Amino acid sequence: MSNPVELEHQRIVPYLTYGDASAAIEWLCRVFGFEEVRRMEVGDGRIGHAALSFNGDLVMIASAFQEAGTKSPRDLDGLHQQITVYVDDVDAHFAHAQAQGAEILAEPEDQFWGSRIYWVEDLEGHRWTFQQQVRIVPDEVSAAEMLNVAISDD
Amino acid sequence: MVQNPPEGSQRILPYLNYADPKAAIGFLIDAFGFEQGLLLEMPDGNIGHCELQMGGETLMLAGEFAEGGLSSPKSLGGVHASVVVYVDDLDAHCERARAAGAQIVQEPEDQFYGDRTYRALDPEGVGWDFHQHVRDVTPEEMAAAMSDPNAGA
Repeated sequence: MSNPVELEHQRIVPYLTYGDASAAIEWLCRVFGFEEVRRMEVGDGRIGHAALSFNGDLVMIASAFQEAGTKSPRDLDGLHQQITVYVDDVDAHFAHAQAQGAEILAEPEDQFWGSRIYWVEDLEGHRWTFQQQVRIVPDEVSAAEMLNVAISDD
Repeated sequence: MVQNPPEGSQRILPYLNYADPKAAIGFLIDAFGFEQGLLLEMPDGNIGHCELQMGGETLMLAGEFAEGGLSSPKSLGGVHASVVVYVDDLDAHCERARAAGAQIVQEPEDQFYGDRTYRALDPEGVGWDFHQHVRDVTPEEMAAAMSDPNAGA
């Protein structure tokens, strides 16, 4: 068994598919503040693999490959994975994304579990949650509150 | 002082939706070695929010909420995302996953960029790529490997 290698990024990484991955890289860097780390093109303009960094953590992205069954969210009738990103200043992040023309789904708001959050859709419909932990709330408190919310929604 | 991201979470994390979230949670724990964290069950039995832990990091998941556009890949009939997870002992991880019924679609293999990887599908069709970094590759080696048509990409 080999020794664990120190990772330079997080262990659990979302991997996202785009119809136009080049446009997505440009958009995610300009609107959300990611930095391009690497990009491997496959020769026909599609991207086989790319990694974008945000404060040291990564998202990985690739072009949709019909032969591999991967699609852009805009070619499906819903989403099965969203991306959550903790940022240091959620209001500043929101203001920048909005000024850059991002489709805002919900403006920043304090949540009962201690996060301040906004929801936004990217250029192909991937849904992102940007949040900042602003308050310490014990798990059992937020669980109880969430149950109340669920019950009152009935 | 409020910790942001909170303790036990990385900065960027995936949030998955499953048609049978309870079965998915059981599978992810048994097959992939996640540990159960916060679990919020709705009065109708659906899972409103669940956190699974691994190596000091978090994965989030919930049931389907079709009215909010959130469904399982099984229901959507396609995928627009997958998950990459770095583990410390890839081959042992793969054997555990296989024994727990995971569909292994790519066996463990050394990649030119210095990782050993395998790929599995979970019961609802989410692709999971497990990696272990086993070798540092110089930019020169990387460039040479990428120009070699037999290196794979």
